[in-house]
Amino acid sequence: MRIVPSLLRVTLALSLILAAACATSREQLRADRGQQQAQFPAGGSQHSESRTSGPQRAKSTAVAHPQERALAEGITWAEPLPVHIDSLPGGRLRLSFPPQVSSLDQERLSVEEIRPLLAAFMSFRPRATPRLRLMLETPGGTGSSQGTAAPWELRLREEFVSQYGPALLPMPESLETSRLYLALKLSTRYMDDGIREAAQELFSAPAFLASVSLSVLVYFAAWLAPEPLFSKAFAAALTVRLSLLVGLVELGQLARACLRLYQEAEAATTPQQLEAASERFGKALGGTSLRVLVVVASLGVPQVLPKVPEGGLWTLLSPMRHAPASGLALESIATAHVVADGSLIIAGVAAGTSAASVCGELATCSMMDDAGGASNGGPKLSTRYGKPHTRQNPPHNEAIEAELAKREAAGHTDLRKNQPQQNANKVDVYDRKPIKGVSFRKPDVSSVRPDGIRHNTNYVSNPRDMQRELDAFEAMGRADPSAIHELYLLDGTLVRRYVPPGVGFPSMGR
Amino acid sequence: MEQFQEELVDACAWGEEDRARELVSRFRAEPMTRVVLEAMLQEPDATTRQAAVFGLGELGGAASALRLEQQLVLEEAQGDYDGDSVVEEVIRALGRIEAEGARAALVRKLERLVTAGSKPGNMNSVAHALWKRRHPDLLPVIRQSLSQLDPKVSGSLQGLLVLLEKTPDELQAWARDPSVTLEYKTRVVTVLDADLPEALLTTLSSFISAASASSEEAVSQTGEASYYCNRLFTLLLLYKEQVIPALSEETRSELRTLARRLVASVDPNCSLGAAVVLESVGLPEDAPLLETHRPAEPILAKVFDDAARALRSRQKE
Repeated sequence: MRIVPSLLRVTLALSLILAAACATSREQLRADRGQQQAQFPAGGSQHSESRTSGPQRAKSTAVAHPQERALAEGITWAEPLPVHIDSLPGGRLRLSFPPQVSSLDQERLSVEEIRPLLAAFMSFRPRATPRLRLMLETPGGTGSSQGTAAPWELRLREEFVSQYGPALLPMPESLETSRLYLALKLSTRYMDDGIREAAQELFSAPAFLASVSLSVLVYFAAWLAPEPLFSKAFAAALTVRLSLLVGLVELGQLARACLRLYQEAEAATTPQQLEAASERFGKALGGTSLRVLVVVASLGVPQVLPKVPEGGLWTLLSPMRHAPASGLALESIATAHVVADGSLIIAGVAAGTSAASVCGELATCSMMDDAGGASNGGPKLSTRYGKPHTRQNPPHNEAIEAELAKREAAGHTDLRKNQPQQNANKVDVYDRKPIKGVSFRKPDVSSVRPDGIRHNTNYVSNPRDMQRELDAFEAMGRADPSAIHELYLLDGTLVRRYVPPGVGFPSMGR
Repeated sequence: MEQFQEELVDACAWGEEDRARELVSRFRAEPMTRVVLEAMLQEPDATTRQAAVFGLGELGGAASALRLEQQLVLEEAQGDYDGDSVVEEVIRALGRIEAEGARAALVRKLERLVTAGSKPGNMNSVAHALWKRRHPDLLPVIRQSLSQLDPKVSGSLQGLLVLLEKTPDELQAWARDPSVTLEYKTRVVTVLDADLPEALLTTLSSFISAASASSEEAVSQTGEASYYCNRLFTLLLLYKEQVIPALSEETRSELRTLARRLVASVDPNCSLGAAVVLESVGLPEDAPLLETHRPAEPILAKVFDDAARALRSRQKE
């Protein structure tokens, strides 16, 4: 049954007209907003009573602050764009998100807003003499750190993993001395005026910074996969909730910014490189993303922060586009899957729960009936990947072949594709601590560099297999620690790299 | 059968041979299983063909050997990376088939490699498969092949010849002989990775002694000595369940001393192997040594940590 009211249908049409690619940086986001602000809701006004009927085009004038400019020009805001919900077979729902421009108010974060939270984090682990020590002598490290975790940090980790599930990226021995922690701490000085002070306060709390680090390793790491899948109910529900509040694309952008920081920090071999990574992250972080970061980090440690009720946390985001869904509807969600077309497919919504209730009573969601598509045989799965759990997968194969061709051109020898792992002497090697009885692995690409170093590379063929890929990566490292090992996504994003001590990377000729 | 096919491809792609073996065993009685596997050999996707080869190797018998040899020739003719990957799998599968035809197919493959002066990778695979299908009839073929090959590419074939020629007692004396190079001994040890028969378990003490004699060099430099120790540790760990209980008290003690020394090796392969061996033959007091030489790299560090923890928990028991 079609239940889309006519106003929403008009809005849906508008959303299609106004759809725009989302920005990858705060600067770009602002540039886009300069063109779109007259048409999209902004500020906290979306739930106010001063909504007007239609958009007006802003004049191009050089006023310093976009909000001031808007006010000066008497711009008013249209209805927020709806999230479209399709019912899919098996009780699943597909949530399609229109482009989102975050509220200008949300671009700021004041110290007053985070004071109760800060007090809670400080009471758990007060500021102390910094233990930070920059240890960058190991290039290409994988979560390298010094020292062991303090008891307070271990407790934090346990809570986090119990809430979100196991870490997808390697957990350093001590978060407090990890590169990621240090890079996060350095990033505040590059943040925008509207958020810097609050960020500096928050990031000075070791427990908060450790929680943010855990958020990256445990939750945001899911975005290493092109189509992140959240199979832990808590993480799935959180993803739905955050997507409804700030937009799915925006959530993904924050995740990718975090992952970039992680990867750059891990790859840094000089303090300057680490600083540069922090700078990029700090400049990319806006008020809204900082708020999301605070929420994700804090929700991971509910026992640690009993004094800050969940509702208190969510008020950080409450003036956003869509109100959070009611607890009951979200609690039953079993999985959330971000698919390549920019929609979110959720499963496990309790029988009898109306789709609208997922969005919450204040949300603007539109329902599509079967005619809206996606009703015949379930959602159209992304065609980027082949059959699940197999490698009958053209992009995967193309990535391998391209890499082999590149290596051949660079003078590598003993080029092997999907064959049992061998060392530089062309002899089979075996995992000395096999997982589930798997004693050998088959690297997608393997070759011997001109300097005699074996170089193995795997590509994540199916995002659902990320854990298996990580296990295989570590197994290859144990089988032959004298070789280089890499794990990539198909889009070329580096997930992990191991470079043996004393070996240069990249080598000459690559 | 579609599910069988998908699961088999998945298991083989991930190197989960136990799962793949169990799967084939479950479907062995189905009349369609062989038909499906043979049809999979014609798929363009190399991982599917690899899985089919594995499946036929598990089904075994003369029919599988014959079909696999046909596939071997087809894949060789392709001359591409995918073809190479299936060739490798066929050689391994033929090594598992007990029927007469399998050994003959491997011998013909060896002859083609010799004629082509092939790369050591394939030669090692054939040598390993032939060791699994060992028989005195192979001796003249192996000798003939070695006489035609450049020693640089004969790989494990030299090791195979030693194993075929010598009795266990002779092998023990050979392994202890300091005039035999470590490189030569390494080739023998590497062939044993494919199969360690019970009759040769007693010879391991000699190979361990050879490692002890070269341990000083293996600690301080990456070279032939550290590589030999690394390969010996690999062999011992591949057959840990059989080897460790079969070691005499004296040999076990010598192995512990060797592993204690080599956890400090500059060769990361050697030190990692030593750490895992020490976990099996060490004593609780060895735990601090592991912690002292724990590498900074997290993957390797975890191996040392686990070993140290296991040794300490032994103390509590």
